Amino acid sequence: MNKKMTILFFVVLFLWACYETEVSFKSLINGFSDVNFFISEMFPPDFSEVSKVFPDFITTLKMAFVSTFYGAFLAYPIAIFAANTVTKNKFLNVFFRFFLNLVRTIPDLLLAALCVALFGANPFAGIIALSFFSFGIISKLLYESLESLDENSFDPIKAVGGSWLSKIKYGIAPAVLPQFLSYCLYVFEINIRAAAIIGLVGAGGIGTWLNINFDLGQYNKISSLLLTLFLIVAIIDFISAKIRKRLMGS
Amino acid sequence: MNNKKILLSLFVFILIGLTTNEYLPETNKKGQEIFTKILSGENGLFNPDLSIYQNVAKGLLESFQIALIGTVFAGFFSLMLGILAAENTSPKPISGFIKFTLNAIRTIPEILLAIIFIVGVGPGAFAGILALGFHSTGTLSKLTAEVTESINKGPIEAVLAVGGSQISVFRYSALPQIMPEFVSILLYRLEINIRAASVLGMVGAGGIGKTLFFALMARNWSHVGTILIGIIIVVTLVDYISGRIRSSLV
Repeated sequence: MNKKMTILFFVVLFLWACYETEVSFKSLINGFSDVNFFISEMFPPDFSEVSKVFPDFITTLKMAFVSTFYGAFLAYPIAIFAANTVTKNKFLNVFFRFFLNLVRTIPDLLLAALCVALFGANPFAGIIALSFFSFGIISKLLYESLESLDENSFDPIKAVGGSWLSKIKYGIAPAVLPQFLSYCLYVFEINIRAAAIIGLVGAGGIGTWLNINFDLGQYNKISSLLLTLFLIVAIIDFISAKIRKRLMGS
Repeated sequence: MNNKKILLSLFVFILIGLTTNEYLPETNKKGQEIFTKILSGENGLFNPDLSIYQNVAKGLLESFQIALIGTVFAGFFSLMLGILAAENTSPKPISGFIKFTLNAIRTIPEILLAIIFIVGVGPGAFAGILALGFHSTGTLSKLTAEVTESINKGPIEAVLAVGGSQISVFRYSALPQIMPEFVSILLYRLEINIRAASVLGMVGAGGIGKTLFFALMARNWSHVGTILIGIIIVVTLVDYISGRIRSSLV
């Protein structure tokens, strides 16, 4: 009975939502030719400008790289405070975890739009937004692996009278280093995609050209940029996955 | 990894970081004044104007509806595609072809899909629903295929042993095994989609993103503050409820 009620509740919720948002498949079918036109305009891709905007691809990569670094730099100490195996203080644990949850609720594009409005339309705004975003993910992943550490492994350090800092330096840092680096690489992969997309709201990099070409209606140039981007992302994903496998293996 | 290597890589990181110095905006006294005014001034980000709560609630509700419908559509299609893509339930060429298509779909960011669908059905919530539905079909089908591939063979053989047809195999042994995991990944996707739905409005796909976009354009920081609070509350709420349901499922 309970299960049936739950299903009924979701069905009603769904139908009401459909009604409110004016879901109409008629408009989808009618609009099909427009979408088709839009996509056919994208082919064949026009690669003539890719070499010209190549510096902006580099900017996008640099944005992703630097913000991963800043994010990781900030995430390390915060993760240590949030993990209850390292910091034995309930208040600090709960406080930092709540803070991290708050950080992760804000989508990357929204952060970027906010930073563009605050710092102006330049890569700097993108770097700040992505650093904040990377910080949220890395610290969450890191404190989870810190909490999965075996607490008994710190006993020798305690036994010889090691302080809290030496516990981190000799017990924790070496133990989570492979995971930490692996998370950084993973976030770097996410950041490349994000760095390209946030350019759409003005945060610099290759997204700026996507935006300009959208406004000019040069769809075949957009497809060339996207294909180049996919290629770069695929290469970096491949290399990063290889490195991550080795890190986790050792 | 020894200390020398770590120091060396840190050095390389910082070197690349320094090359992004060019993106730093020029700061002066006036800039700092404006910045503090934006953040904590009378009309600033940290002084949210709560009087627009009705507008914000409407936008948030629409974002939630977009996420819900998009996830349900994606769930509907991915249950079929996922089972067709699983190697143990469908012939190899079909499974390979569908997996390849799904990979291709997943590389297109939601925001680009939203722009494409806006061309088709016009700006509004429905374009956002289609974008989220399309993208989520890619990710959900992959996960569903993985779940299907990991099901236990015992119950299937049991149904076959008592003379059940292919359909009863699916109905009485495969589906009950897939369902709890499937609902769990569906809810997880809803959590992701609610974040995505809150930004899709920035390109014209309805929801709170539209309200946010106008507030950002008008540099109406106290409104931006209210909208951010609203998004954080809704995302946290959906995460919490969905987390509770998920932990009771698996």
